Amino acid sequence: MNSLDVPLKWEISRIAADLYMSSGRSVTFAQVAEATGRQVSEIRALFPNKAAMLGYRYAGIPAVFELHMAALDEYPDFTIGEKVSQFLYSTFDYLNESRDFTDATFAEWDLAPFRNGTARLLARMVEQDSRIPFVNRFFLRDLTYEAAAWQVVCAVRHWLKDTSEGTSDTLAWIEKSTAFAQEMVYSGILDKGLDLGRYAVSTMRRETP
Amino acid sequence: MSDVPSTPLERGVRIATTGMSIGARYAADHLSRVVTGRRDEQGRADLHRRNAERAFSEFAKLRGTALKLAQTLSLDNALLPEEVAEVMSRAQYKVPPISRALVRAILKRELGADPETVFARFEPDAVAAASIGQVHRAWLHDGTAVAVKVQYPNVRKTIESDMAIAKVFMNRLMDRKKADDYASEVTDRLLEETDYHSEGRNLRMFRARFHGDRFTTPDYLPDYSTGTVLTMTWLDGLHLDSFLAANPSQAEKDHVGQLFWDFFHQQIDFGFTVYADAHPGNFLITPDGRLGILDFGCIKTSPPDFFNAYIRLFDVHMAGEPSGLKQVYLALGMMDGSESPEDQAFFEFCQAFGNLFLSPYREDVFDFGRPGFSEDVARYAREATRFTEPRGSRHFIYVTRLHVGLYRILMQLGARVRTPGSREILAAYLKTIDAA
Repeated sequence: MNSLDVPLKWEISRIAADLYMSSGRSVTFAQVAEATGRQVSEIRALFPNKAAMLGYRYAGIPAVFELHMAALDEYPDFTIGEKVSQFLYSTFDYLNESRDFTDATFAEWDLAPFRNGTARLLARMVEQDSRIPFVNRFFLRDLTYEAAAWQVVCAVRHWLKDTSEGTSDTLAWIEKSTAFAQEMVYSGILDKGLDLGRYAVSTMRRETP
Repeated sequence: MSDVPSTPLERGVRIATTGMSIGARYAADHLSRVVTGRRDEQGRADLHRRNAERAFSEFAKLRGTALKLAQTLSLDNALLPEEVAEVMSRAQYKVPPISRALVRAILKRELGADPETVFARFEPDAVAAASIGQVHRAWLHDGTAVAVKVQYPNVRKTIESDMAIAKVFMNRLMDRKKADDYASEVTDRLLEETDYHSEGRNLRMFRARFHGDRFTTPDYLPDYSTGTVLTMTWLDGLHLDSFLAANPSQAEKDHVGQLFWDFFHQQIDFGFTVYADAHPGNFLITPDGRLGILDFGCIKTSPPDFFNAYIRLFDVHMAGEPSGLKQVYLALGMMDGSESPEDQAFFEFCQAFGNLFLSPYREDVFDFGRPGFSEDVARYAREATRFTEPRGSRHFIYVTRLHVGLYRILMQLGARVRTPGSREILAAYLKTIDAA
């Protein structure tokens, strides 16, 4: 996918989602083309079908986030916890852009593309973070990212139901859980444990006649 | 990155475990003294310092009410061991900030766009973090430098739960009605501090009165502010500790001390309203020698009867006439009129403390660095604790806080202050009360 297409696809999917909600949960390529001032063929070139067009409200989130963060000077310095919480807060903002659509469809939509994109994004966050000890990286495998992506979906569900002022309960929950995850990921305990183990083994070998 | 404990259970457990851990250390120290018979004063001082550091670190994590109480303790450090007061005074400046992602999320929610869109430039790292919020530096698109104060999430909720915990302790120390009265005064002020619209209005009111050749305040920018985000123009300057660290001359210290003294007295005729948060972190000495006043969350407006009686204290103490003094104490609820031995002892104590406290007004130039003065104030403050039953109106809490805070700053500066101007202000105000 060309990253230049991301803003265009995002905007088209927003308009499609609005039309979907205002037209009794149905929308056609022709309606979207008319509303966006583009040709149906242009829209079809971006989305193979209507489900993909509407589903981009979820599947497109990781790509839109990366595009936004590329413009934020301080983002590369963020800790892993800050990056993950930033992703969650941004996800809420993006979902709020089509809040009616989100409320109506989040529970029933096939979120696999969103989860897969999120897992890949989280993997990239880990790869790019030099503060994570080498041994910890060894344990951070695909399964971990997939499990974390499921947690992101749970966080969105929590946020959708949150009636606290300014959804402050969700914000507090995210701060705590990402701070905890960060402590785990940055922890040097495995690194030190491995070092101790290597030393113990080599000492025992020397002492064994 | 730091999160804010927000549930009553979480905060209660943290307070309780801190208390238990500190109590255990004191108990171990006591046991060791009994067993060994040694009196290691240096060891005791180190223990005070370690315990204060532990308590401060926990208060800083809790922020909100707990940290405010730490700040209040640091204002009243005459009551605390020196090592504890030194650690607690850090509460005036340094608290772990919340994460940069959370700051961005709050700003987007409150101002409707990302900080880099709302502002031409936004510093993601906080320049100061305090009990209720943290401050970031930013620049508007027209180049104006601003301070953006971002409130921590859930602060209002934590105030109510923290005060409920505090009331449990207060009820053990004093009459329940009195405890309720004092607790509701503190709760009201703290909740008011969380309303940044209200702080913006206070800022405007004080700026209209004080901004000029000698004092300055930031300018409130309502277009960039909400109930939990406050944007104001940036003030450059030095906090008191940095000012003193630069070894200023006596003349410079006197100049700054005079500004503090005059700022305090010029509030006497200000609609019964005073700036009630006189801790050093709220003031700056600007490069052009003005006193910059920063934080306008804690402003106390007293009922006129209380305020006038408080000012009347000055007059009756200066006159030294016991019957007039008793009348004012009765009006302020400090005496119950029972003529009991306790009431009489309290009266005599207040008379002596009041005379010491008002001694600066008896001289045209008073030296707050005078040997013995701060020790005498500290001795009386300690002695006050023998009157276990708190007395006086709830309105005393914040008005006294300003007065005590002013003296602490002046003693810290060791400033020599000219007092005739303030006496004239007081005399003129008393005349208006008499005329009314």
